[in-house]
Amino acid sequence: MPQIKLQSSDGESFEIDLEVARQSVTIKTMLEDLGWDESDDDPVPLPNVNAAILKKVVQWATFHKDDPPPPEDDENKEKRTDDICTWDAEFLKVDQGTLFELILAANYLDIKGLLDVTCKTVANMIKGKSPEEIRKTFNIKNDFTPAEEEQMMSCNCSATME
Amino acid sequence: MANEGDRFNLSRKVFVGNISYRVSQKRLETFFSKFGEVEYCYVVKDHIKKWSKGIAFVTFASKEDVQKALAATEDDLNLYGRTMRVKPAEESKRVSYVEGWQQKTDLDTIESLESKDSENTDELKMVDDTTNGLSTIKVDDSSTVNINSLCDDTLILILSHLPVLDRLNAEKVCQRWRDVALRCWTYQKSLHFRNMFKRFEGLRDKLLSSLLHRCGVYLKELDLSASPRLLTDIAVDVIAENCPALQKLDLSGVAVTDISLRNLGVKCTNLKWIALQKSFYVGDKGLSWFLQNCVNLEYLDVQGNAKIQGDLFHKCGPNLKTVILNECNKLKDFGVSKLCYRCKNLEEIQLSDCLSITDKCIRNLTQECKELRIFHLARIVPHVTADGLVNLGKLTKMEELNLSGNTSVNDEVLSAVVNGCLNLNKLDISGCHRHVTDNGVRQLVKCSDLTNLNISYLYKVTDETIELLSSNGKLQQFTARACSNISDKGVKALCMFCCDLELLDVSGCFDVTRYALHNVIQSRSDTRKYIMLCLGGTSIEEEDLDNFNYEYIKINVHDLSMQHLKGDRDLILPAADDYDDEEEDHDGDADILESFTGTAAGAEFYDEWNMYDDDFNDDFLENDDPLERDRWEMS
Repeated sequence: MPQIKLQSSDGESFEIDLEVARQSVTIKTMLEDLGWDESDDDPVPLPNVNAAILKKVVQWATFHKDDPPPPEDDENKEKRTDDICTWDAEFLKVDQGTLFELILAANYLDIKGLLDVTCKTVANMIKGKSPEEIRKTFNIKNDFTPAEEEQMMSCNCSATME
Repeated sequence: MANEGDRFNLSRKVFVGNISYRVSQKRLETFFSKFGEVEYCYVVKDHIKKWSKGIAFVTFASKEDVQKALAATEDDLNLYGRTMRVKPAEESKRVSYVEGWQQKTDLDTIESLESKDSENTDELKMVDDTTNGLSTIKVDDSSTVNINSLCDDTLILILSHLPVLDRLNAEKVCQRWRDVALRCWTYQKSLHFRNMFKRFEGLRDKLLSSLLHRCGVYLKELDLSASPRLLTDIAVDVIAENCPALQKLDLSGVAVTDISLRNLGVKCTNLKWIALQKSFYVGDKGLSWFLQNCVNLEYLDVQGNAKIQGDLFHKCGPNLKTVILNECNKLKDFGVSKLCYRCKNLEEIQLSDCLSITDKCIRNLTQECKELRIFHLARIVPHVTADGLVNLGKLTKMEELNLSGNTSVNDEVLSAVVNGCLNLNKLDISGCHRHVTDNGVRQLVKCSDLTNLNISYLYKVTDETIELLSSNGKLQQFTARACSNISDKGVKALCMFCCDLELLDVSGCFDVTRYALHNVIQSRSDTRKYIMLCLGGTSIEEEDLDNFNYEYIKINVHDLSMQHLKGDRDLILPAADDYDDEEEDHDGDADILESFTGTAAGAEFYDEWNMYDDDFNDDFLENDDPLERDRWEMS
């Protein structure tokens, strides 16, 4: 199995199977464009991902290396958030900072499966919460003016949720 | 740098920001060609969602045109109400290791990177702070990454996983979330409300209105049938106002009125599919106004309407293919005739439980609608006799026929059907035992394409007939509940000849024993196809099934046959009383359930039982009504 070296933003190198790395569309395109071959020893620099996160991503990609390619997005298909497999659920029991960094990394590396599952996890954190609870959960500042707030209260349409 | 730059035509390329999201590559190319010949134009799109990011690169044929574009005034750069910004394109450092990378890269990622390592000064500066919707987020320190560090597209991806009600709440979190959440609706093509409300709650006009204000323009499908009861007439007006592109609309159970239906027809002219089940306030007038405007309508379902007589059908569009009129008590012959004359291409019509129609309607229908493929005339249609039904044989394209519980069906009708409808593949004559004999069923052998047959409660049917029917080898679903003359022999023939059989329901056939089961096992070990067996109420004991474990065979052990529907009940249990029977039956089921729900296997059976229970309610609950029982007792 050919190996490839990845270098995180803080200079740490990871040697992983080529097949695992190719789950990232970004890395895949990079290798194709550069005409990478096995004799190449230069690490692929990933300046957007630090070592801790890259380690997690590699862990995820290794576990999912035999997954079938994710289905194309179908707009008519209902989006679900309850179909996260147990391994992923366990894997994503991390603090919020790490979770969002994983999303950033998945986005940057273009790994659809990881992006999907992390987004679903965040969606599950939002589900069923009131705006105030959401703000509290994610430490978001309420930047609406009092006038805007009032306007929203007056057309409070989701009364059933509260 | 200069050489490298030329490699990407940087001297002839400009960066364009603040472009309306509606602008396509082509439109932009045409727009910029007013400054000079455009060689190439690239609108940057999100790599997952494929929507425009509001920025683009335009390559001109000559350097002079670039200067023209850069010198353009604000008015010159106005497109769809937005003033675009034009800047000279600069090369990203990263281009040096991945060609064309700047076209794929995620803008916000670059932005956050920029702030992280500031020595990357010659980054491609293409993010425009004023570019609407692409707000830029500065990340000071990686340890403070929070949800707002994510780029808009990722946030949209997250919010698009939320149910619509949660998305309304997300709008109220902060300014940015409101913008992002509002953009989410663009991709809402269909909306339904299944599993969305808790008990005693439901969809109200106000909530529907605020949802449709957001996504109505984009909606193609809307289904309100899951929570119609708190909606009023206003809801229909709201739909008419907000959803011009709607193609499929399910308003079943909503209190639609004639007036609101007319408004709907005027505004939503693209409708192809509409369901108005149980719309008690809609009459001929409203529906005819509606049909007049929606000429593209292909599917109309007004099941359970107690008002319409059929005067409206001369307004039908020529595209109408399917009409569901089950339980329209007032529907008259002339109504159906109008429908027939108007829509000669009708493919499906359902008239089950239409109390007022007579033989004349069947005669007209069979004469005019030669394209009919699906026809339902089940249960109580008191004025339709065998004389009318024999005309069904004229419908040569018929594929699906449902006459279950129709007491007028006799051998003669079946004979006409099998001789005329040569393409028939689904036939339901369950409960037609009063006039249908073994000989009548035997004729079905002529329907060589028959895949789906239901002969439940036809107690006169014998094993020999089953053997004959199975010799065609096409049957896939065979239901024969409570056919007391069917035994192992019939089941054996079915297993032997019909390799595609997926469902075999012989519940309540007492003569079926475990030898029949052996035959099924034998046949399936060769074909390796799944089969569902319903064996409740047969002579197969539960002990026989204790160690039953075959991969391809699923078994339902509940008796799905209804005691009071059994045709030969009086022959077997002459003194039986209706009421007691049902009580007993019910208790029995409950006991079985209790004994099964304890174990894991039990849970599975419970599900299956429920599944079949639903199915069975659909088919027969109507037969349970007092009217039918009276008629039964009189017979």
